[in-house]
Amino acid sequence: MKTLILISHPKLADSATQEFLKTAGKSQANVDFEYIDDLYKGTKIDVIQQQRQLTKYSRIIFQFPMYWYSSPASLKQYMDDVFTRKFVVADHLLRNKELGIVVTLGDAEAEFQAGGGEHFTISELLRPFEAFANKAGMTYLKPFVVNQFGYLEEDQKELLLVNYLQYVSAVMPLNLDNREKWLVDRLTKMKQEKSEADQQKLNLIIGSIEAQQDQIDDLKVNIKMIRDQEE
Amino acid sequence: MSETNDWLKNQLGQLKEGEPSFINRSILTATKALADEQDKRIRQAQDEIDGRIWSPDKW
Repeated sequence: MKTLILISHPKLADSATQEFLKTAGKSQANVDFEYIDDLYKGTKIDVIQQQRQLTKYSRIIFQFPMYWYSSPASLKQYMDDVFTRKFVVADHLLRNKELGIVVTLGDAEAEFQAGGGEHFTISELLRPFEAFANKAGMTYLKPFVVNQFGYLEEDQKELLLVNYLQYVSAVMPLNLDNREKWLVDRLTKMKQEKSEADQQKLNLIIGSIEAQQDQIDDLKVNIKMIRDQEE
Repeated sequence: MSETNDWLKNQLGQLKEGEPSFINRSILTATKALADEQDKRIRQAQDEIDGRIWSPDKW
């Protein structure tokens, strides 16, 4: 599975959050980045080439800071230019792909709800993207929200990094089973750059994680059997 | 917490100590978190099985 991350950010170079996400994403195989703002520098955007590129990916992610409850203008411009009616509706060239949204907020996510300072939920505010995914026949993924990055502690940043990598590259939905498989895959890759002693440690860790997952699966089967007999 | 999980977290902690890459450290931290979640699910599932098998309804 290949993922394309389309970043819309007028001040990309100044953003610590975007730098963090980009460095993380580059460590992941089969994930590519495109900076929409760069596409609009100087020359006219090559619509056909962009459309051709999009068809190569099965997951497409729009990544942007929230500007006045929407994306920055460059993403809207890109959508207006590249997502032609023929491309999206007539030829169905985005059908069955996944559309993810990575949105960064300067305000606390907890305020985005009824009764909160921002009043509306993230899901409500991002509705136009969901409507687009629906029209294009894409699977809309739960938006990935990064809020107040500057206030995160080291261990929170570590978990954010992995959650982000899973969002862009793991098999959906992000349940325990799929997250476990993704981590085992990354641990296996990590082994390649390690000493023999550490490789052995990683092998034991992987074996133990997989055994625990098998145990969970067995327990689930047993519980289902008992429940089914009860009802 | 199970012995396996204690051992797992100890091993992950050791690997993390000598790990210079932030990305790899993050993967190890997330593996620890996953191990905790697995441990919790196993415990809860076993408790559920015990609870259902020993239900007073079946006495």
